[in-house]
Amino acid sequence: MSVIIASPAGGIALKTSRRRLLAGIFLCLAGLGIGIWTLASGDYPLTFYEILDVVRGGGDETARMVVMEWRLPRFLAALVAGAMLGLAGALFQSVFRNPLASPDVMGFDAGAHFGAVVAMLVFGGGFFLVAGGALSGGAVAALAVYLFVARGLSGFRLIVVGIGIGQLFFAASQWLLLQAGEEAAVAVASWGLGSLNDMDKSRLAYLGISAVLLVPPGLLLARSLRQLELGDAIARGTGLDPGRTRLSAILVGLALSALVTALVGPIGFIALVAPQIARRLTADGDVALVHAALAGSILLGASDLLAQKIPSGMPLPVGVVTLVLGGLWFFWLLLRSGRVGTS
Amino acid sequence: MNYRLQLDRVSAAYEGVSVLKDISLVLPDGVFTAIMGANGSGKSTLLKLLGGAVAPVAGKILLDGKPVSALRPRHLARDIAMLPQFPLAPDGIRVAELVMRGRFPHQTMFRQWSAADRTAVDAAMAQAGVADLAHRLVSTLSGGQRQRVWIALVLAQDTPILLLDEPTSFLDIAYQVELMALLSELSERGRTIVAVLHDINQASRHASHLVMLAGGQVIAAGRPDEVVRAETMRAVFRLESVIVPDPVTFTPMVVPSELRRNR
Amino acid sequence: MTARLGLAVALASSMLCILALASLAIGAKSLPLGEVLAALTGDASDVANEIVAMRVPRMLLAILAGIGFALAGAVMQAVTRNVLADPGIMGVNAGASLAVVLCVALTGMAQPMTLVWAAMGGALVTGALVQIFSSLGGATALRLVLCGVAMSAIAGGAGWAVTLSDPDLFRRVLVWGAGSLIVTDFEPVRAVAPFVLAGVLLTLVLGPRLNAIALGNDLARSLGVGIAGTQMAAAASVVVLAGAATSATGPVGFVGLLAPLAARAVVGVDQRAILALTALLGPVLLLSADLLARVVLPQGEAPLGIVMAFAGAPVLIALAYRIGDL
Ligand SMILES: Nc1ncnc2c1ncn2[C@@H]1O[C@H](COP(=O)(O)OP(=O)(O)O)[C@@H](O)[C@H]1O
Ligand SMILES: [Mg+2]
Repeated sequence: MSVIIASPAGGIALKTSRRRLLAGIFLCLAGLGIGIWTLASGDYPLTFYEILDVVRGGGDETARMVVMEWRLPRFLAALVAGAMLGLAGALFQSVFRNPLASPDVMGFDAGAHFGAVVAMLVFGGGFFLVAGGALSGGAVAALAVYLFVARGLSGFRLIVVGIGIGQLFFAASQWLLLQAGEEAAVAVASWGLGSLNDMDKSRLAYLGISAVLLVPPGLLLARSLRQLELGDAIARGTGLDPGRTRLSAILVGLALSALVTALVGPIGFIALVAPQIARRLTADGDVALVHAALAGSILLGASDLLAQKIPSGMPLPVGVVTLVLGGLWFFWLLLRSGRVGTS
Repeated sequence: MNYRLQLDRVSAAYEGVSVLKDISLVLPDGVFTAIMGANGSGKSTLLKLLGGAVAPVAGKILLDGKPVSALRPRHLARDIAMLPQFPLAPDGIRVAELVMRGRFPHQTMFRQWSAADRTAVDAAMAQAGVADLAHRLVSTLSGGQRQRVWIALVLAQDTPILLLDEPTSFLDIAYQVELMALLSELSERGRTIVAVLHDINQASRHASHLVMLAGGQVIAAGRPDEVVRAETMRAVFRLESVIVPDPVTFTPMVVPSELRRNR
Repeated sequence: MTARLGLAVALASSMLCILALASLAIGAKSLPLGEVLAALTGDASDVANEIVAMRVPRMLLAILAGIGFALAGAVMQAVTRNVLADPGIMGVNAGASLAVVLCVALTGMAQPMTLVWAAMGGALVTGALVQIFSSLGGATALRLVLCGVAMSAIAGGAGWAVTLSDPDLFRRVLVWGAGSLIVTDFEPVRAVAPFVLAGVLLTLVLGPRLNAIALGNDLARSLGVGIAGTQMAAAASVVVLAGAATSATGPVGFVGLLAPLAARAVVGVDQRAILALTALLGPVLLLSADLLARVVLPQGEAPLGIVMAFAGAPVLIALAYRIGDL
């Protein structure tokens, strides 16, 4: 059932469907639920009304501190990073026409991680250096994969190439870490698994700025990607420049996932799973970028909540949780379908 | 004879291997042109050149006297629609949605739907005979039904010029005849149709302009009775044949006279 | 035995001997070859005697682990008829190492023998899971690899979660988890050797059957080879070999991919020949990697797994690129 949202004169007319709207509302509500749970639970439990007070600007000092300084920044970081990853994955999966082509599986995140490790250990770090390192590392990995695409590699074989490139960068980062000695290694290792444990306001701000700069251009690509999925010939025949669309989507997707890697660490599987969930929810064969971003937020928010709930000697990085959940999702997929299509 | 679309001394090659050599050709307005030739003779390449999907290595493809390569893809797409041989349908898409995607060049970021879109899509689906499939999943259709959905998509694009690469493939004989009739009807109403066809007899029945390719060159071009001749068949397909009048339409009809080809 | 196989085996054996001697000679303090040979018979200087005595177990362990990883890979590739099957890619090593980490975390014990059993248990569970999930609806190459990715992710994530529960454990596992060979006594060698030997014997018996399996399950059955039985025996040998090897060195990937690949390139399609040569090339690979690691990182914390990844990942990429339909 399509739904048209239009201005009276018809100058603006956006098309969506009831199912899409409902799916979007469902995802938002789920996010709200996880948010309240995250803000309420912990060593210092709060009731819903206490949280409401704090958010309205009231509440006692401890509650303010707990919510505004600790829990809210962390939860917001999960939402923003998750949305960026979900969107990045949706862009790549659409461009490569392959539900497995996400920046984590294809080794782009490993590349970005390597770049960030180099920036930290060799040049000493700082947001712009680490972000620059992550961007260039991710770009090198993507370029390597793209060289194979340009030679006509696709589908399953491309995924194996991506896995190989990822392993290479992963080994390189590990080597650097062991080189750096135990102290540095232990310090970087927690970030190396993807963690929101010491999220502070300045990092949240960087994350927010990255999202504001990159998410809108990413979402605006939906119309072109939809056309590109019909094949280059139809896309061109209906007035699209396939090369330019592909390049923009890859650049935006790469920047999204590399910046998350720089700020939070390499978080696996969100970029892979969120777009798949989004497509299942909307179920109309159309690209679902907004839904993928929402699903990414919720997945990362829920994983981080889980990471906080599991008792552990050292704080558990959220990347460990997404690794296990992502693996389980894979098994579920394999169980459900006789085949996981890649072609 | 008026024409908007023209090839001027065009050559095409893939990775240095020449496919078409120095071709000059006009495609008359409001006429159904059929492109024919042996497998691999460059028919699809010729169509891709016309649609701007392949760049020539020499020569120019002109629309209204301007090189196609200089036009913005979007503007070109309002004049020329092209149905490739192997388009891709996303998983889980329904027929009406797929046909709607032919409206892309008429839409903008903020105007993704208009009443004109609806009318064009409905008309295209009716013409292609897929109106009653509108809500079916494309993945559940037969090859012939799917082919008609793609034809609906390019019809919905609503362009004066239509390029179709082997549009009759997968269609049963009744739908083939129906599609041919639809294409001639569209051309009678003023649209320019350029289609790659395999069945010479069908082409000479329905198309009024034939182009025969062989060896990277245009061997013959013109009315069916000028092109469909025993000499042409021999030159293009190395096939001995007798040309007789079609018993229904009296257009030329090829009857092979030798069952074994001496290639 | 063909002349080609004979030549290959002779070459691989002499390479193995040279590398074994080199791994006794080269290290934080390198010794001349004469002194190494003298030390082996016990009549070198005291210092040299001691250094060589410390390096012998490490060398033996590298050989055993090399045999284990490589043969496990060869058997998996033969049974699945898939060149990408490797205990590392398929997640078996990750499962074995999760079991080792769990064992240390829960019992605090790090006796080599306990660890071998734990690793084999982990390999058994993950191997069985991969087998079950990949064969639902037909074991295609894609399903196998996806299963491996999923298994590695779950075992890896769970391993980290366990490790991070205890900062002390974390420090110890960080090095082992990258794949290393820091041993100075014979106890791990004694623990691992019987299992590797058992695995080798099992694969010897399997050789001819694997040749039949290579022709497809239907034809193999009509040749009188029991499919289920062969698969079971193959699985058992993979579990024993990969489990024992992982307990010795941590999860080292790609040996099981590279060694059989090289063997197949040299001796062709006969599984018996492939297995024989693989058993020599595995240790050659691992000893070279260990030597390289020692030269590059002389502090002695040898990231074997890292060296192997540098060697193996490009080959994996080349395989995906070159091979038509997997
Ligand atoms: N993308 C391509 N790359 C290389 N060669 C191509 C490509 N497309 C077509 N060719 C070659 O060009 C020739 C003409 O192809 P095509 O125009 O598709 O022929 P037709 O449509 O008449 O069968 C063939 O020999 C074909 O192999
Ligand atoms: Mg063709």
